[in-house]
Amino acid sequence: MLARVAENLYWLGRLLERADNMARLTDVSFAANVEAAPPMGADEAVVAALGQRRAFEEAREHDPDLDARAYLVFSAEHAGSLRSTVRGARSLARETREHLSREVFEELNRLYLELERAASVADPDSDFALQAFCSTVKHSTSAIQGLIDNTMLVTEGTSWLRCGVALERADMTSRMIDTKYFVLLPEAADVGGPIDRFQWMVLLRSVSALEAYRKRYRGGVSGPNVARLLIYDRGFPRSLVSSVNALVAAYEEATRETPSARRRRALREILMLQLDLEAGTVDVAIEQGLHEFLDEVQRRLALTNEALAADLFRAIPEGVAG
Amino acid sequence: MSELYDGYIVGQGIDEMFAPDGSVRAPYASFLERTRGWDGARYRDREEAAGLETLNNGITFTVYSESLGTERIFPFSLIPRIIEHQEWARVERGLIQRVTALNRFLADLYDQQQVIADGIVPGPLVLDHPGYQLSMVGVRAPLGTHVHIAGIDLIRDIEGEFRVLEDNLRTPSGVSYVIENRRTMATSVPEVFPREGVGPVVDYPERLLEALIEVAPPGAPETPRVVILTPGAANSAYFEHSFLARQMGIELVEGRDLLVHEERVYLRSTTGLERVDVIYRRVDDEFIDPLAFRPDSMLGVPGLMSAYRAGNVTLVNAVGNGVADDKAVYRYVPDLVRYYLNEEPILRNVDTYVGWREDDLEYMLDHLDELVSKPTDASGGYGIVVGPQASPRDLDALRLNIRSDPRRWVAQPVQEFSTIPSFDGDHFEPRRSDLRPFVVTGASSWVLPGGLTRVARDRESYIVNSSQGGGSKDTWVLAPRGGHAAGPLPEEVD
Amino acid sequence: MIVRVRWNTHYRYSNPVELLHTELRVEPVDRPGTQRVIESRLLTKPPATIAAHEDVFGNRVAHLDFLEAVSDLEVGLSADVETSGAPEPASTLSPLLARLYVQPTTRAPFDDAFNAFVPAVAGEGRLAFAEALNRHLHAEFVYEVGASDVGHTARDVARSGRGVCQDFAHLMLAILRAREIPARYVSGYLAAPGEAIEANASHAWVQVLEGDAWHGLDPANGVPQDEHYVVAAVGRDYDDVPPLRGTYTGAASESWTTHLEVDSNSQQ
Repeated sequence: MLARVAENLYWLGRLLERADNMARLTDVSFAANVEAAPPMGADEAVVAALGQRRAFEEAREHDPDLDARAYLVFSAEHAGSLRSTVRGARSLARETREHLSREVFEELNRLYLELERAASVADPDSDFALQAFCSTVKHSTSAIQGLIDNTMLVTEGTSWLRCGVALERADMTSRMIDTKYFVLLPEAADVGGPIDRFQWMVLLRSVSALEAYRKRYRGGVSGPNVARLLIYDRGFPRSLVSSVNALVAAYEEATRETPSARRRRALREILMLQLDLEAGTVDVAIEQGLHEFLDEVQRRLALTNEALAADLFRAIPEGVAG
Repeated sequence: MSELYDGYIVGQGIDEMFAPDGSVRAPYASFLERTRGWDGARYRDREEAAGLETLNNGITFTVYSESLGTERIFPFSLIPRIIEHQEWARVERGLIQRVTALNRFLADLYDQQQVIADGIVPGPLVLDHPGYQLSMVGVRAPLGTHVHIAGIDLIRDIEGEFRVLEDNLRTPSGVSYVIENRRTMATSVPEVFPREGVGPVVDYPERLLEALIEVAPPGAPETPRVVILTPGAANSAYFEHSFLARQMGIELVEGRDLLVHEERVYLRSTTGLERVDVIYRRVDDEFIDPLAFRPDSMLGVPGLMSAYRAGNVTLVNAVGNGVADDKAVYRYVPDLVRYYLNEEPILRNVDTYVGWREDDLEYMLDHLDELVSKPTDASGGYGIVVGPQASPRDLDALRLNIRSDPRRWVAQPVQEFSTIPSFDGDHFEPRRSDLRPFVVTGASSWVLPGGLTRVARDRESYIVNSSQGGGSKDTWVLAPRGGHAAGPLPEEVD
Repeated sequence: MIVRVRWNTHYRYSNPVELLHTELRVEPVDRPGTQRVIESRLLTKPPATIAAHEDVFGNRVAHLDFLEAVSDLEVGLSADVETSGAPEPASTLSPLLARLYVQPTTRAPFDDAFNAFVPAVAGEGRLAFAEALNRHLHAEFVYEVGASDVGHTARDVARSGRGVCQDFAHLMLAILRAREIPARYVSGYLAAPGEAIEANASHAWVQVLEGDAWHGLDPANGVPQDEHYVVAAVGRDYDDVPPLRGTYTGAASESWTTHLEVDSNSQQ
């Protein structure tokens, strides 16, 4: 398949998954805000979880009234907003349309049209409009992923899409756990306190994992158990280990006919990652430093992304194949 | 008949549905029968449904003038253009005849230019033309086909005869709308189709692919690799490029996806380099190869012309066709039909006078007040003088201009053309319309039944371009009496 | 006479570049009656497969490309050519060439101001006019290296009164063609002893169609083309026959050095 198209499909997968995660996070932050008054700062927590804290603070210097949710959802100027993410996904889908089923394109196109419509109504930043839209995004991106599974031939193209989804999901999950641990809680002394537990619950809900957690573990919400579920639980589809396993499978499928020189580097990174996750336990990870552990995960994902771009998507092939 | 047609007035021209005495023309009889009793609400609902389908499907074109290139849908009107089988058969023959002559003309122009030596066409008219590409001279297009895809614009004149208004021989677009319009009609108003069916359009991609395979270079594998080359997603016709790639099951590539090595074209895939044999390119000549044409082009493929010249890849349409669809060269096309084919043209041109011919020039200068005069080197309506509306002073100025550089000018009588009813939300109104049939030529020529019917935005307008707010309609070619056009309803496109 | 041409150009790129494509119009071809190629070799470093085609003017255009990144490219021509100095016999021109050789171009536009450089007294006929013009331009204009740059046209040389060989040629072509005298631009090599301008160098001059032959005239030197001249390529003006033209992708700046040696052996 065309290297450019493969790259676009990979990024389409990433942006779809990113939009889904952003919508979940934002949606959950409403609930948190309704129940708990600011210093809790659920909105800022979302900004931080998405790795956009610095950009947001800079934007706020120009506009002190800037609302975190408006910034995250409907902002057309902000490249990291949900709106820009959906627009980006739709424009990639337009460019790779001949590789998508009609249903997949139409669903994404509808989402895009709905977003543009919602953003153009009188007060798009009202809580109601934001919440309604986030909910649309969640449903729509899930529908799209379902349509990809149900309406599209399994080809190299769908494998690249899945690679993008899996890599983004792993990245997002690791980032969210990391943020909870090291960004949100002001004082180490608060660990295990009510704020701590409340934040863990918010986190679980943002990845639709609260119910799963209740089924797996009895008793109250505890940090190590949440980490166990979100990192090591193979039964939970959004866990790191599940995402990385999905990434390995999709990558192997996508590069089945790719010469080893081009596929090697990215493969090594994700296999190492898989090994770490399969062999590790949450106790060891916490003992050795969860932050360092998650940092290493993100570093490997970044290297994978780099290797894909340099070796596979952009490089001029050496030999002549056909 | 529905009261929605009350007050429907056939203008100065001619109407496709109604004769001047108000009676219904034969091709529409059954259609009106099937829509008897439809009220305004029903038309509104159906057009709305059709519009929504179009929007969701992303059938859009890009308008450049607006910020960042806004996507728009091409407004669609439910009343089709309907053509009788007999009449279409004649149009079809005329189109094939015309395209055959134009192919011979281009092959000659890039070979020995016999047509000039024989005095049929003035040399400077074609040889000085910016669309005449020197790098094409001596290139043998496989099977002698230069125009693989032609869009020949027709209008029905006041006497009821289809005439050629314009030839589009470079990268004519619009065929995706033809196919999508049919699909939209079949889903939003399935009950209006005649029982015998209408000429099918759904197999266009199949026919096109066959032709593209036929013109593959002689050394290509049995199943040659065919790709579509697009300028990219920002291009106004991107939807069509992507649509055709999907329908033909071939790769849609951009310039940066291809490379030329040792006079062979390859595409850059995840697994390596793969040979490309045929390129249906929707990138203009000047941009396809920065080495041969504009060095600043980012859309092209360096060295592509060398691979083409070496016969290792076929470009579709061929390079250098722009010389043959020029406003003044148009005047000579009937002569080209006689010269190359030794036949009388079946389809007539719209009367056109060119400053290149002394007899024409004399007529032009004597009748400026009746003619529409156009400079040949301008487009978008710039510099056009409409004689009947011009002041005596304007006409004097025009006369001077034409005298000083007659070869820059062509002139045509004010052209009236046929209308078709369009629903304006309330009742039916006439809209002027043209028709662009598509002719596909590989080893032989095939004409898509019907074509793209474009309609003007409002009652007064003569302009049917989508960029001017015009819309489009489905076009039906009826089955021969007592026969079948295509079996039942068109199938789902996807 | 046998003229030996040894030409070499060395390109250097500040960063490796990809998809480097180059077209060369440097190789002489057989021109019956006036020049015969005894041996001609085009070589590159790094080595590449060189393909060639004949363009609309009958020139040999060589092209080559590199799939791998390149930061250094050397191209060398080594050609031995036997020359006679006689005009080149011309067959009937196609309608196209007949048109191209009398049309103005960007570099040789029609301009009434050029009439100032037409000699007052010229002989009978096209050729005599062209010969007189050739001498006149040589006398009127100053040859000056550095007085011209790549984008110069006949208008620039007419305005400044100075230029290099290609400027002289463009001005002469403009004047000839405005009088409907078919004429072409010639790029090639001049192996001349002594004082000749651009001797032993890459050179440009003009050929005029008269009767059934192309007659060469060199306005930079004010003399007719003789056996010291080797034709590399012909066209309407410089833009049809640049010795090298190429493209590449990559963020790099390009620099080059060219070395040329032309010498002759009249002993045969």
